[in-house]
Amino acid sequence: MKKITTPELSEKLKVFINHDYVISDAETQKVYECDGLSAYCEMPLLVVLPETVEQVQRALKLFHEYEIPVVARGSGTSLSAGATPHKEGVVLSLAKFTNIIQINPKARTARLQPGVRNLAISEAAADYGLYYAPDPSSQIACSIGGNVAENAGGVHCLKYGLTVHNVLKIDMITVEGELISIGSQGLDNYGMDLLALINGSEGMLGVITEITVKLLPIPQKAQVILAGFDSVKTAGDSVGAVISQGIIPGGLEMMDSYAIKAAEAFANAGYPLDAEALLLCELDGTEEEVQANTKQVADLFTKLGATSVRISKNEAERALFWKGRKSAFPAVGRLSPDYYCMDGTIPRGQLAYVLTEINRLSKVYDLRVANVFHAGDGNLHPLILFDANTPGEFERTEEFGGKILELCVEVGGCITGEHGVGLEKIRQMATQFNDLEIAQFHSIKFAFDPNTTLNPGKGIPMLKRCQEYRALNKSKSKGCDSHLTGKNCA
Amino acid sequence: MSNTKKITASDFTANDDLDNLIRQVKQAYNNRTPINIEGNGTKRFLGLRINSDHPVISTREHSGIINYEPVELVMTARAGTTLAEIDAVLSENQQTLACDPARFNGQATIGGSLATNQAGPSRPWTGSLRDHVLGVNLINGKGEHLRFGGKVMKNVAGYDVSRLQAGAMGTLGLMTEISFKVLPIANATMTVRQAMSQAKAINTMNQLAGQPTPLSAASWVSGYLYLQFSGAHSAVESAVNKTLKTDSSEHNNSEILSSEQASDFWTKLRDQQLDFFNNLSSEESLWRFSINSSAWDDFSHSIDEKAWLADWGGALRWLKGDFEQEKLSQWAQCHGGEVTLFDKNKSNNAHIFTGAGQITLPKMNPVIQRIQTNIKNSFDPHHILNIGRLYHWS
Repeated sequence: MKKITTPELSEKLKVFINHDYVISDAETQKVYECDGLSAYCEMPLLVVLPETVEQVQRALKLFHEYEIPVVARGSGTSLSAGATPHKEGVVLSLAKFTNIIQINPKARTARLQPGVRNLAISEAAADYGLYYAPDPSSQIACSIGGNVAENAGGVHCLKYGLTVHNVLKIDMITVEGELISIGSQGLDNYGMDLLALINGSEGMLGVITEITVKLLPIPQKAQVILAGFDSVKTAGDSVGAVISQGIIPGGLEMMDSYAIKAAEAFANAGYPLDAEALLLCELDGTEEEVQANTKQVADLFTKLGATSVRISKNEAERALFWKGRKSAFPAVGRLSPDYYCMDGTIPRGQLAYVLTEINRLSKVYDLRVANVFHAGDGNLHPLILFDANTPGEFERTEEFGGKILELCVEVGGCITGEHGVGLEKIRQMATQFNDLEIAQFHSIKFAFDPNTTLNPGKGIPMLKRCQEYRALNKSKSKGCDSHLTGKNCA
Repeated sequence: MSNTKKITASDFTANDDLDNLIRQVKQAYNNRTPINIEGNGTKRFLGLRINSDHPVISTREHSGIINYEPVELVMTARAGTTLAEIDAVLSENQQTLACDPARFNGQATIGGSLATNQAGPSRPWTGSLRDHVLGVNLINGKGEHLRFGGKVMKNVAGYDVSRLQAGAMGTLGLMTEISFKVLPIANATMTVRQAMSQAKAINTMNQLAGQPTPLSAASWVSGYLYLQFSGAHSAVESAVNKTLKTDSSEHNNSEILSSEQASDFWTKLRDQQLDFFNNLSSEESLWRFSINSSAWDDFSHSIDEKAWLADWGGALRWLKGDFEQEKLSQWAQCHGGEVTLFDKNKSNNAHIFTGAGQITLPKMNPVIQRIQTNIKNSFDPHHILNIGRLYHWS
């Protein structure tokens, strides 16, 4: 392996990249030390912000020559420490790539640079009556390149799919610096579906430089039903009942009593404060469709025992109903100095059991939890409240979070629905996958990146670490985590 | 499916042949003996010709629905389960395989349908099996039985190995179990047929798809545009009336198809049983374009309409005739997609029985070829699985 010092590398980059965009001083680098999960921080050797595809290509060739780890970064909103720098590597920011290259209203597609914000796509497409469907909560800030890397979801995925369902084509630069196109403007392509591999690959297979997405017509109408329930189980059963009627809502969200109270105090959305669970069910489509379905769902909620049912009367009220849900994270954040957002998925039928278990674990770990749930597609976001300034509390929070993810796997779900594995959930990968499966993941990684310099240490754990984690868990379950609280968790 | 006796779930028997399948693949790996994987053999006409001397490992004895929770919208079935069985069980619960894979008289298996990434005419709205698969269990080329994805709608842990199987034609593993999303059957479905030129139909299909309508399929076949609307009764009726009204202002040439007529048409289009596919003359080849849905120019206009068929709202085009591949490739690339020679002229007309081996593939970027070769090697280091089926070099 060829050696190079950081100043030498910096000089080589400055030959073709604006000097201001090759950042080597600690003060300017500081903002890149973490992503949306600030518990994981690291300073890189350099941060580089190329402005053209050719610059990205040249930079990657240079990094490849010296086998320097590369962490690609979009807006840095990842909640799984997927964009945390590598201490011996470079952060490759795509923040300069913010152009919407083309919108084709007739074919309903948009060509985008990776740094385009998610919401900016829909804003630009609105002129043509179109929008981009996946809408992660961070859509005001997160970039489409990051969305592809994480296969981002959002509240509308049940009906309109995840990022992987809405991306037609990507341009990507390989670790060796070669520019390739994967996918096309058509709906399918002969051969292996590399596009599916790139979506959700967490920057470990290549650096994305352009994305073509599908656009959908903005629904004629959308209406939200807000229903309160006196138990989580009844609310969960009601979700199943809506789907059994043959209705797929545009969005179907649930909040527990903790989250309801926090969101209401923050947004004054008119949420029922006495409810144990709240459902927000958005129906969208043509005027006639929404009218028919809204009545059917509202009647159903009442019949199943909802303690309150309200239907949004106009766009302003619909926005208000959503405001509470969309601000649930910061609202819960007001209750505690810090919160930690988890991202497990479960079969919906297991909801009552999983929430009961989370409440039990909450007592064991002596940490409060608020639950926000993409109920339609089984994606649970427990928010664990903690204080990072209290010694040991973050470690306890992380362990509690890990237990929640293991619980999700136990009931047939998985450890991450839309936030990705990153550094955060790398240990729990050993719960969801066995060594042979992890080894297969590694060999896919090698197919793209033989020297494993693209976002190393993220996503797929080293096999040795998996064995250690499983062994640790085994011994802990024998010892019953008694070091935590002294309580018996049997 | 039209004109078939209603089949119920109890008409099928389940069988677990997993251990035997693992044993056979392991043996092939140890002996370095290539094997061909097959379900009911309904899609032999897809992909490249493979060496028929290689022993066949059949998934036919590995069948049955393992788990189905209608409320979860998720079904898990063994790879050899026929779509007839899946349809029967789903229809009892008013649900369906929304991506509508080709059934081939119900004999197509779920494993083969995923391996070839099947989708029906509603693909632009409901996707293909690739879009509906949630998880797979597979035996890789080393005989290791692995589990990827899950039984839940969202799962971003690890690389998406499940979707990677879609279109890989069994070259990366023998799928044993597949979990996939299902959807409720729409409360109402209606089809309108309008006499129209292809040029106008391409324009109409793209315009309609950009408007908030309950459009669920749009195709142009033999001088007629077929539009299917699905959803709530009132919404479908309103959309159909609007379509008829728009048309009557110009010329009164629209009609609503009866549900039998509509079902017959969409089924035959999906399963490639329309006359268009079956009347290839000895000089004709059949080309398949996957391109930008709005593609239309002088070249498309210069060819006799009878030679064309447009499906997927314009994103899938079929062309019959005697053409130079290079010219067609250029046209496909110009419209952001690719062309494959799907079927070459031959003496008999039943194109689906002519066997594989006649496809000419789009040219591939050498870097992508290297990556795909590496992926193949990672799943199947001794190259024993469906050798040459997807690419001559894999």
